[in-house]
Amino acid sequence: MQFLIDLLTKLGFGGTFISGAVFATVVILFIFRYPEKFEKWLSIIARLISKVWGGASYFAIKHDLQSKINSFVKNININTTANFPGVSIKWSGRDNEELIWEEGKIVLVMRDRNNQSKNFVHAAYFFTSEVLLRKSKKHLSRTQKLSIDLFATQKILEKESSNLVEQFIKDYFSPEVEKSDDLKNFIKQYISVDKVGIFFPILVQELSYLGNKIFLDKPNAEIIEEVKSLINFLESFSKRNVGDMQTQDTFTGKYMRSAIKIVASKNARERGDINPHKERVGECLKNGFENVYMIGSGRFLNKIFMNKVLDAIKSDHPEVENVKTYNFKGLIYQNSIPKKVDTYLVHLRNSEAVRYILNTKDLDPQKAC
Amino acid sequence: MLDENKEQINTVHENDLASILLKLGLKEKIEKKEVKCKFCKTEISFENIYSFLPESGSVNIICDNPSCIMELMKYLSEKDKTKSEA
Repeated sequence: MQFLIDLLTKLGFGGTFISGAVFATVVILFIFRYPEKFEKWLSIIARLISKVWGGASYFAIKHDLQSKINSFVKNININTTANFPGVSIKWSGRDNEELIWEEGKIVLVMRDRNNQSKNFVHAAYFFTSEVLLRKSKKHLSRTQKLSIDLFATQKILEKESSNLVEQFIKDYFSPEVEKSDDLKNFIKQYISVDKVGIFFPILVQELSYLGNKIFLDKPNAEIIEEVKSLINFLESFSKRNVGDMQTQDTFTGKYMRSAIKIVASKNARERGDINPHKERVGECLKNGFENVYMIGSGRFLNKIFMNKVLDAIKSDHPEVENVKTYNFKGLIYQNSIPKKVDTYLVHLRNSEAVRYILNTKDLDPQKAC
Repeated sequence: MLDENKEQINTVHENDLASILLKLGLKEKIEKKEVKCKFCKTEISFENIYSFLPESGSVNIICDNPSCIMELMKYLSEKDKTKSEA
């Protein structure tokens, strides 16, 4: 960019023009790269204008809520392979326009600029409850659904402000949690799973896949039990100590079939021996597991080793797709002492094993791996 | 994020509440304290409306008490579940 500016200056083009062009280019690039941040800035400017002109309040509220919620959605979409929808705020009944309200669809009341927090809490909770994982929630129990809504709303709010979280916990979270031990237990489990870094990339991901399936014979109770088992499995996995070979690393479900395989054995890595890991993962793929998650240290040498395992698996199983890789700070336990470490997660999808329309009677008993 | 991958949230601004309630034929009733929250049966005022829910040809109002908001979400998801099972 500097080279271009120097060249244009030497050619005799005015500095003002160039500065303006550079500024405009930077702004355009910023808008494309960070639309939510741009929207947030617009809402701040509109909020200031709304102090002298009330009409700007509509713009400020709309873009404030959209930017905050959509920035959270963008983050979940980065942390899963799903494509969760964002939100668009639509004003109704403005300037005496005709009211066209759809049967059964709620219309939220937004308060003026002095109630931004209240507006955001209301919109965030509405979003998690009515939009996020909507298709999957049809398969969940009331408590499972409520626990995910509460936990996800708290995650949206904590990104913005701790005061909002406190308010939400006081008004919504605590009264519900105090009423139900089951709800309390689910929340405790999500906290453990989230600390390890697999709440969104594995739990929310698996629930999202579940929502895309159609069950012809509606085995609701069985699915609810299976979701409970998946959460128990992830919680127990999240609490395992480094080197623990006893804790189960495969979730064998009838409706959701996934396995988590740890690829971090120091001895195998130092020997450069990828075969044991390749065979463990290959066994899952042969046995019809839809998703296999390989997890290990995010340190440079371990990542190289994991990528070698991945290449070998893909060569043996061309049907398998490496849908996403994640790098994040996850928690591990060494002799029960928690430690934050760089973590590498690879999500493999076995396209040959995936079925979208299911009749329980046609499902083969799941083999372990 | 592309526009087509967005869910619409229908909202009304509190500045428009009076005219909307007038159109719905509820303004006078609210002033006379005759409208109650769908769930807790508290009197509805201009200050405590959380949302409108159009159902069976009429419009229900839900107050901004957090327990009523929770109740509304449970009510909507049950309805959604029943609809998908039908």
